[in-house]
Amino acid sequence: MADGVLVRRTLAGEKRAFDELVLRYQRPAIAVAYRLLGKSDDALEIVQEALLKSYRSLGTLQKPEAFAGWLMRIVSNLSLNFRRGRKTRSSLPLNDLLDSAGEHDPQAGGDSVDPERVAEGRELGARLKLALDELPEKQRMAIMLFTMEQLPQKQVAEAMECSVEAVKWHVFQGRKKLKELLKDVV
Amino acid sequence: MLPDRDQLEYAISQYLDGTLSVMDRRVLEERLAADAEARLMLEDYRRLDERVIAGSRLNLPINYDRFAAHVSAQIDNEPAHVAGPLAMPGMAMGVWVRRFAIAAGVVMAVGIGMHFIPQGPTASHPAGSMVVIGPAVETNSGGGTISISYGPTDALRERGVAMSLVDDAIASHSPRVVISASDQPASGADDRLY
Repeated sequence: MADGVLVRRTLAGEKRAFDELVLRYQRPAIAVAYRLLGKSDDALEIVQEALLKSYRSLGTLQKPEAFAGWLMRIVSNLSLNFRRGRKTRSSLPLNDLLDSAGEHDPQAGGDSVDPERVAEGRELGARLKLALDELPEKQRMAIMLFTMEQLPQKQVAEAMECSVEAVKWHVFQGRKKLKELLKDVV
Repeated sequence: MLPDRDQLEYAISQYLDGTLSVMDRRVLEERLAADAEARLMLEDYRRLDERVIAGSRLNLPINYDRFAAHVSAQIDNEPAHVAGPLAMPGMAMGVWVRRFAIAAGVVMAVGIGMHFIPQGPTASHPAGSMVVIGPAVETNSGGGTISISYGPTDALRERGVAMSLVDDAIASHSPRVVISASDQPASGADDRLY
């Protein structure tokens, strides 16, 4: 069932239709929040807040079909605000980022796990996380949503409140910088 | 045409994403076939993407079913939405009707406003005054002519507007109606009596 139909049903009072939207987008939403915050419990807190916020203000959504991009925008805005607030309390320690690299597993879902590849994936994940932090906000969002979460460019554009052409440009600029930052591992 | 390195890189980035237009794709593929450096650049970006995707796989220790159930329980505590204009596709029409009504209101307000704004004299809308004295009985000792002419204004005629266009011109310019009286009988061929 299309997102637009589920949004309309929710607006007609059918709460279970919103559950379907939660099931559909919780994973990419949590992944985006996690990549921005570096901690899974913070990511869960933010996504829960974003989902409740999106439910409450669903009536303000102009295009029900654009729900996914809109939700991602709420998630990223809340995450960035949370992050800024956290930075004002105490700067994000480096080992915080490195510790959470333990949650990366390139063999996710696989039956046979090669420890060497897992270690390599963790190392790569940690490097990637640091490199992403070096990117300007728009480039980081474009790379995260488009390249990593593999959302369609239209949804990314809705999430970032820009045109599809701008998304292409931010992805390109982000790639160029990542190529430089990760040149020893690529 | 891909004249510089930046444009080539940008085209390669879009090529990898499958978002390059058919025409640009063809141009790039021709360039790739002929240019070893371009092929190397493509390979670099392809490898970077592979590494980024490999490094970005997450295996977060999250029970997604439980998380969804938790959110669902919280939604249950929220008041249900009351059917609004977007709730049903047919009701979305209401939004357009409302927008149309607002637009019509604006047009009417502007129209009424313009009607009451005093219009000054312009070249095509000359203003003048007329003094009428009478009625009075006048004696006439001979024949006379009353001439009524209807046509374009002098300004239009001076610009050589063809008579076939006069009707159109009248729509946007004041027509000229001239009524003149003379105590002299008609003398010219153009002076016709009606």
